[in-house]
Amino acid sequence: MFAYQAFGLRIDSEVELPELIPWRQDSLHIEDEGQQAADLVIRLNDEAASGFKGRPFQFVFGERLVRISIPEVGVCSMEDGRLLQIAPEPMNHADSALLRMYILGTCMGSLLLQRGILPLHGSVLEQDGRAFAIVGESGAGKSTLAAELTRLGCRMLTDDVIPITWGITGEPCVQSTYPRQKLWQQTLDKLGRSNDQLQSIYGREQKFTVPVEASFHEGSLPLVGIIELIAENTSSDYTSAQIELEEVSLLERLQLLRQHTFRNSLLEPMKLSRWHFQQTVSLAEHVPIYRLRRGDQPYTADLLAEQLLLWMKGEVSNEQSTRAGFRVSGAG
Amino acid sequence: MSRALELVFESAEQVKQEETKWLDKRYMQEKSVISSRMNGEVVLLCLTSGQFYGLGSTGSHIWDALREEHSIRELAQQLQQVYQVESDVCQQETAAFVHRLEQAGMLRSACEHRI
Repeated sequence: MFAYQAFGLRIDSEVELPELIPWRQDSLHIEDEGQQAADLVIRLNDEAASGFKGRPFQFVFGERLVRISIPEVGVCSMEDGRLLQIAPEPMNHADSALLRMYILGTCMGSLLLQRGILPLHGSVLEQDGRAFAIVGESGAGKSTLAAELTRLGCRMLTDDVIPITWGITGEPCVQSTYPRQKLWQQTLDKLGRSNDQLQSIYGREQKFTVPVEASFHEGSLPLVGIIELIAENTSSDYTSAQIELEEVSLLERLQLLRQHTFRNSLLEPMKLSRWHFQQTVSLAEHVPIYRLRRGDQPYTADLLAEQLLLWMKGEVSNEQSTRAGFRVSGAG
Repeated sequence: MSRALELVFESAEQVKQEETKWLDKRYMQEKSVISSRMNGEVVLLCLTSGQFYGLGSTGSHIWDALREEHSIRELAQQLQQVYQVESDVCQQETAAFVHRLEQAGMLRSACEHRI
């Protein structure tokens, strides 16, 4: 059995997960003397598939139970936020990467929901002890912007699932996950990294998981801002000379948080709609949310990251423009 | 001549009945709508449409009252205790707001009760 710490949990796993940071006695559960039990256990167990009749990729819901069958992986059974059992299909070597991808993504997302932890989808960066989340549609450029920000000295807490928890004074926090980034070949080229030693993400040959141990922040930090990144078409009136960071109104924040909740289609069948609504209302009250529009020029992420970092450091205030044309505006 | 007068009289009576109808039609929050307070005002999520709505302070007052079944006449009476508005204006504005909520699928109306 392997022991890890990730998502603010101690995870004991029969499946080796080299992406995760090994569990250390001193790190997460200082208050507990002696043997610390795992928060989540991952087992390989053929029983997990017993009586399962779902179609591929279809979630099936039971009492405190979510199951899904993933072709070339197997049936994954998530129970009560504490137990993940996988009835694996006969595997060849390449599939173990796929299995890990589903464990760390879809399965962890469902388990967090079962534990009452809101999972958003995106990347989180640290600046001066404060966490900023970047969310956006697939292809908006979240990971690329996150990579540029780490290049400029920010540390990363997560690059896919964002676990939101609440601190003792009621402030929203982000729990770090694991030190990996998902990047496209062109971003690697830009950052001057070779892909020789990297692992290609299954079925996405041009996208790689990149270890980022050196610029990883482990633990939890207060969430102070959420930025929705939007890639604009050149056909719109937007010009790349102007980058606008626009604060989103309270009501719009709810829509935005719903949209960027990890696996939000699970909320209704898991009977979590009310809970999720309350969570997002609290989050919207505590954390300002902004919309950042970027052009689809070949590569503007470095400029964007540079300007955004100035704002994160508090060097650009509302209704101000920088010389590079970066502008921040409040919610009407 | 007298016949025409009768007709006018009848329709006036109908109008009065219609008026009583809309004033006394009873409404209640739809169960598929979930609500919360954000910065003091009610926000709603309609689960069937996936739409979010924010209500102002008066709207929040009406929404809270509609946890239980009420007519527009009753709602307007309650509002008049809080806000300085003329009875007619209050009823009309309450009705307009309630109808907007109803059209958005946020309220269900009960059977009409005549006084």
